[in-house]
Amino acid sequence: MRCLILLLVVFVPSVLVYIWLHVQTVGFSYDIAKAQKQKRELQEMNKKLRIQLANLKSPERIERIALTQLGLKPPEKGQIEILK
Amino acid sequence: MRETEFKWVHFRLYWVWGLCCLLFALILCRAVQLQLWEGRKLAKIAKGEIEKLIPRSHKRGTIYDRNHFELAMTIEMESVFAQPKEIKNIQEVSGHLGQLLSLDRKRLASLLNPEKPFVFIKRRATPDECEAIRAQGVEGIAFIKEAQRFYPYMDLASHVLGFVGTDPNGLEGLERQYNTYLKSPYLYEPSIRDALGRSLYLSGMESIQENEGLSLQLTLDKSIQYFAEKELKKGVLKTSAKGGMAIVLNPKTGEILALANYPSYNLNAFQSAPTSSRRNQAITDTFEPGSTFKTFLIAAALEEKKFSINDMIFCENGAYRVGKHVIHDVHPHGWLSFQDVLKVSSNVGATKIGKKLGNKSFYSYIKNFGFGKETGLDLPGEVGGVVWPYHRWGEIEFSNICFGQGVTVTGIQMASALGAIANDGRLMKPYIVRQILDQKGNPVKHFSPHPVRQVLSPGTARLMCSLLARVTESGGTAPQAAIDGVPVGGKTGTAQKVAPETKHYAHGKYVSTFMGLVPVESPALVIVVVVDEPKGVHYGGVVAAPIFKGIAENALPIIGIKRQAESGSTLQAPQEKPDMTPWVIAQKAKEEEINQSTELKYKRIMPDLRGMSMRKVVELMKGYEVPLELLGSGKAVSQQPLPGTVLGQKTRCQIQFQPML
Repeated sequence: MRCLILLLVVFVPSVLVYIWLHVQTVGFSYDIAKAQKQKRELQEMNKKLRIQLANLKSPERIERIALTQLGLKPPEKGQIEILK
Repeated sequence: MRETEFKWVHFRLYWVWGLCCLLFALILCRAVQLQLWEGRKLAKIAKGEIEKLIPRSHKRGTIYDRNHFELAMTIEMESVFAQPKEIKNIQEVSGHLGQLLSLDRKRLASLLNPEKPFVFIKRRATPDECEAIRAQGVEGIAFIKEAQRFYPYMDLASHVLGFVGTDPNGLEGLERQYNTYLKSPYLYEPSIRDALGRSLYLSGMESIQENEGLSLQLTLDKSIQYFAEKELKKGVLKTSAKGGMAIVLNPKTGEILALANYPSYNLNAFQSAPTSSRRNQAITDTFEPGSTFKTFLIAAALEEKKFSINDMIFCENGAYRVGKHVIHDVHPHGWLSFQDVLKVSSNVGATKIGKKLGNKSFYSYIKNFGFGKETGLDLPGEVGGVVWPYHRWGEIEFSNICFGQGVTVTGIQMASALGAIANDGRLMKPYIVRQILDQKGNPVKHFSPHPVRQVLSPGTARLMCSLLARVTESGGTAPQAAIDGVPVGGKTGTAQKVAPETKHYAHGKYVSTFMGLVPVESPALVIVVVVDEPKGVHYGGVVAAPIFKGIAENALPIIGIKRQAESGSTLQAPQEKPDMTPWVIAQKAKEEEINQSTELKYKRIMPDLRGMSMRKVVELMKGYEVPLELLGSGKAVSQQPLPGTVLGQKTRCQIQFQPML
């Protein structure tokens, strides 16, 4: 009888701990997969934003805005200073 | 009675006990059988149920310009597909989809053939369209991710970059030439899914890596490319020409800084562009170089020491008989010095120089300059042009070749040959890809400048540069190429086109050329401009030279070459306009402050720069001749050394700017 109680005291909690660990692992697996998906989505978003940025930085667009909206004009030759 | 009953109970108990043991033994046997004999097979089936291999779409690498600006990128877009077998009401679904994707309803209904298991509805739909379909929850419709190539600058460098087809294979330009590097391998990615289809990550699974091809870093500079395209377009439209090309090359390395063709096309909608405008004429089209070719004749004659630059040549007053033919000059000349033959571009003079040089010698120089053979530029479709061997030249053919008729060249050959003159006589192989980079941006392969051969001695090459500079002076054929504040050298060319049907020169159809180098004393840029079939005035000096000038003026500051300001016209703020806004008044007050502080210059005391614009800071600090480090943009907020500090000869000044909000 004592043996049986000892067995129960040692065995049952171990089994419970094992099950708990397993459940935790599965839970984290879902979290990791979700985080990875999010990472990919963010990377994709980053790429799309970089395209948008490049679009906005297009020399043609900058020149158009400078000439029409800001009233700037190309520099005269003496107005260009080259910084090393 | 009681005893028999008791026995009966016992018997039944044993019987149940025995049955239980038997069942347990059976289960044990089955377990052993499943585990030991069929274990592997079953595990595989189970794994197959939860583990799915998902194909990853091909993701091409990025193409960058020399300063790491993205010229071509790949993004993922969603394609809409249907599984018609699972759709109950096709009419309703097609109506829905037609509305959401603005597609024809009847065509959709026929597309959704219930026999088919899979059909694409719309490939690479916009995110808004996908969102709308998701929100409506149309049955039997799902999404798949597909890669889409995108060119943020649309038509910039379109002929160099090329484009890719629906299956991501490069079809033109660099996309084609470097397809094997840019394209990613076809990969399946393991993914574990539970019964509800949710994905989960289990240890031991390989980490998911971005499956992207290698990237290219080009020698092109997006700004120089832009100016080359802009100036070329302006020039072509002004002369109502059929098209044109412009090449900007660094003669010291052979790097192509810009390669422009007109007409151009939008790479994001290449299907709608006519095939003719997609051709990279600079490498695939040959033309007669005309008078520009005299440059190489003169260089050869100098190198062979057949003439010195002041030798006089009689130019027969503009008409010179060679066999049955008469060679004419545009403007008749009598006696001309050897160097003036190049300056005024005399055909008669060139013929006479050629005669003294000899056909065999000239032919070897033509070949050494790289004509008649591909330059080996890393773009698809390059042609070599035609240079017949010298023993097939008759007397008149030889005369014609002296002034650039009867040979054909490509734009890139001309740029690279002039590059040899600009680079102390050494011919460099032109190239357009600088590095191949991996996903993390580390170089996998590096392309360095590759010298082909020494064509001229450095002395002759430098002398040639100074002779070419005379062409852009007044009295030369291309004063319109001259740039204020920096010496320019070059040569014009105007050649009649050959009609392919008649094989004779077509009346009124010309190719106008200008090839130039800048600055003359140490050329940093070689620019070749070719305009195809200009209407009206067709001389290279009038049609192509201004385009050269426009490109060079814009490209020089980009590569860090300053044009010398004439005395008196130093850096000045633009003239104030009479309509003075409060901002302008504030600026004016600041300027007065600067004038006061200019006195400080001579004392070499660090002025207070805070609150000034970058322009003012540069203007003010110019006189101190100390190294400047400008950080950020906007107005100066802090400085090092502090105002009032005595400046040494090499005190480094660091000024921090911040945008005004």
